[in-house]
Amino acid sequence: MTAQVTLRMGFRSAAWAGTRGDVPGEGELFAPTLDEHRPRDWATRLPWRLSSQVYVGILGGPLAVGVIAVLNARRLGMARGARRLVAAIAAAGTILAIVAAALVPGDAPRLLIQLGGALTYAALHRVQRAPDRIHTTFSPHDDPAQDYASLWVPGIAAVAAGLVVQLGLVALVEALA
Amino acid sequence: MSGSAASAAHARELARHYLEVAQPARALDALARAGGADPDDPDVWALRGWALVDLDRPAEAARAARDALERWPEDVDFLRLLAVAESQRDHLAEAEAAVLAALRLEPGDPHLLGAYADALMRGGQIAKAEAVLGLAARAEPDDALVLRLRLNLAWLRRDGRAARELAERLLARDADDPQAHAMLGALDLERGRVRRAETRLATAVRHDPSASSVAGAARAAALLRRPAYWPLLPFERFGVLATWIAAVALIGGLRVAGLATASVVVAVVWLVLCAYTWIAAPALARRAGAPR
Amino acid sequence: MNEQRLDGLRAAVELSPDNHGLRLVLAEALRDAGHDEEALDHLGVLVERGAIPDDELVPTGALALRLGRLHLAARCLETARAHGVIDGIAPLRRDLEEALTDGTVGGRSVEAPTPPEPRDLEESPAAPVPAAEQAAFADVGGLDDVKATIHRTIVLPFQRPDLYERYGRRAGGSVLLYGPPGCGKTLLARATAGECGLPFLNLRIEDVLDPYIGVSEANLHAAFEAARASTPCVLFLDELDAVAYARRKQQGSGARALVDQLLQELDAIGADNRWLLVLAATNAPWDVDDALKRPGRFDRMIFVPPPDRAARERILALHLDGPPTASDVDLAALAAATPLFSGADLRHLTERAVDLAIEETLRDGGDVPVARRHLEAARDALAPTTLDWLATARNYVEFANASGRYDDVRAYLASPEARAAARR
Repeated sequence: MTAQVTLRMGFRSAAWAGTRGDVPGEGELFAPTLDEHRPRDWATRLPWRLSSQVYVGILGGPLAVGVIAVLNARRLGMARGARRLVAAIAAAGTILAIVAAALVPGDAPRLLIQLGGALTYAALHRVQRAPDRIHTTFSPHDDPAQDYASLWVPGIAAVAAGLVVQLGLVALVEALA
Repeated sequence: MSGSAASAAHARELARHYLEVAQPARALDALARAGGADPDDPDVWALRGWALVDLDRPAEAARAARDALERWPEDVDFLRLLAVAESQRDHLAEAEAAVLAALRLEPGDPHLLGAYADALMRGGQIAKAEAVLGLAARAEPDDALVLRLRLNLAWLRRDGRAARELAERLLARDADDPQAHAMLGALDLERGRVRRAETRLATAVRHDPSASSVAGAARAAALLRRPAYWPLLPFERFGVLATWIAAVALIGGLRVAGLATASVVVAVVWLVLCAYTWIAAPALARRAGAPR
Repeated sequence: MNEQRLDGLRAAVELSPDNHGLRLVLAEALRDAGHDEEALDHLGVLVERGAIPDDELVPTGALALRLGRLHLAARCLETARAHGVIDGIAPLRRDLEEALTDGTVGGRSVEAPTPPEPRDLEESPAAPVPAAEQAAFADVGGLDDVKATIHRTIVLPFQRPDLYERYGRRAGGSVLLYGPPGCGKTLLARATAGECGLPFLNLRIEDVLDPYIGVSEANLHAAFEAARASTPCVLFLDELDAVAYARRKQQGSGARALVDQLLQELDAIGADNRWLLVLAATNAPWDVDDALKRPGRFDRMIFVPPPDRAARERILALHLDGPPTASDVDLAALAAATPLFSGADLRHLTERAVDLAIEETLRDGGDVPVARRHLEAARDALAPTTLDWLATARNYVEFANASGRYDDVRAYLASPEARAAARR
């Protein structure tokens, strides 16, 4: 949806000429931290657009958008710790939304699920947006449209399955409460 | 010097010139015509490697660098080449190993620090990249490469103010700098200043017409000024979720204020607009990639 | 040595043109007999082939300087330096610099060179190709509009100088041919020289570049001086974007001085560029320094597009003239099916088809001619190499064509063939 500007201004060889500098070494800075990085698959396992995930959240609730976000975090090449954070946010959002829908008086659990989905999306978006920008900035594709996979099929599947599961869980909690 | 040595020297000079004028394919041709890499001339190995980097053939460039390092194990320039090539193909662990080895030999080289920061940015380690670039900037605050890397970092960190300041510094060096214009255009587009974005991005393309993504963004900015694409503007400026929240808040507020009919009308208009953007956004992307 | 013996040596060299030792003997004999120009012609061939002994480089350079052949003198100096010759280098360099600066050597004016007599000498890259050996427009397939433009703006002023001078127009000047790679810009330049009936001097960047500071600029100046000494003639600069890369984009300082020198030569500071036509070609006009595209320099720019259908058919016929071809080969259909293919792409296509036919022959025996299936398979495996150029050109034309200078590129991009091929 957004007209993204992706800045892939490469640096030609003439730029990497090398210069002299008297900078003292900062020990911790030069400890290796990229040794667990795995090269990204730019051909097949592309991530999904963040802005499209909001519809999964609004329509499918926190479980649906959480599943998409967890899968997306791996596709974005996020580190293990960041992926755990995504999963934790998704789980927390789902639990809170289900409990609220089951316990808050009223007869519109689905609306609460959808509201929970929107709020969970907001938190997940915040965590994913930096890796998403890194992905588009360093992508090898000339056409930005090739940076993302289509969310239609997985999104619809997540929404349908997510609603069924969440509403089922809401009914279960209500029955137990 | 024998005739063949003179010919090799001439080929080397020719290749060096071609790299300087951004024609890496011709640089490779010049080296090939002279009979390929002279095994005793590290310059020829380096020229070939950097030409491959410029041609976006990082796997071959990395192999060339490794072959050269077998002959000259502690050559900082070949380690630098290896680091850049491995970064280019997203083998960041290998890139880090190469650049750290180079930094042990030449600690504090701002361009080596820059290469490390580039790998760290690609790996998502933004805070560490910022610290490393900070060292480079302390050593060479006005170096063009360091400024460009800092500009990229500011973009990744979404620090618009820092990005603008760095772009202006690049423009002070060269008023036509395409990366600076592209960055300022991108920042304007983010803030919904479409007309200014179009001007900036068009300037960037004028000075670097091979940057297809920037050209596409310039076309998109021009299209966004047309009434047919105005509904997309709030989503561009504020993001999808914020725009939805504002719309839902407006509808809810009208309902709470007892204006039920108005709230229904606004809700219907809002849903129609959303459906329209689902068609308009891909159409805009398609037209931005198509000839005007 | 008497003339009879000289004639004998000349005949011997004519029979064995690659016998460098014999040619050197002839050159020495001619020099001793006072035939300096002819001696220098032979020595020049030896210099170009890298076959001249080191101890002859400085004397040959000095002779070339005395006879006003500055390009050859510079070449001798360059080769002597590269070979580590020390004796005599400094005075030769000094005299050459003096000649380049004020047209004198040791206080004496450089002798005006006389036009070379036609001789059976091997062509050297430094020597102009005589008009009789040039290409002509008939050798260039298609590009009728481009040829008509060149004929009107370049050829006619040379053929009808009196008419054009009445209207204040002079023959000569500078013209830039630009377009995708492999589409015949160099051939078109040669053909233009042939149509004008002028010698063609091809100046390549490898003839100019030198590792030593200042020598590249001296080489360029020497080439222009040699061209001016041979006027009327056509001086062709291929890869202008490599010679005159935009100074604003350069990160080092090495190539800037060359751009400055070229600007001086085009402005004819201290010299006369009348009757000198400077043609240049480039794949990247946007990378050429802006100062070179200003009035009085390369302000005439002609777009050379990929060959049209008729030209493609002709090019395919040319490349398939040698190998055996089957009766089902339809060149017209193939030409129609290869839009945006450059001349180089079509050559690659036919070579690939021939390879497929050879593979079949080796596998199945017999003599398999190049058939339609081979050509179609080769075409399906290849994409035109002009697409990247056209994508970049499209961006440039959209955003940098306020002056209308690239309107012909815009028109070409809007043509049905270009649009259809780009969509594929």
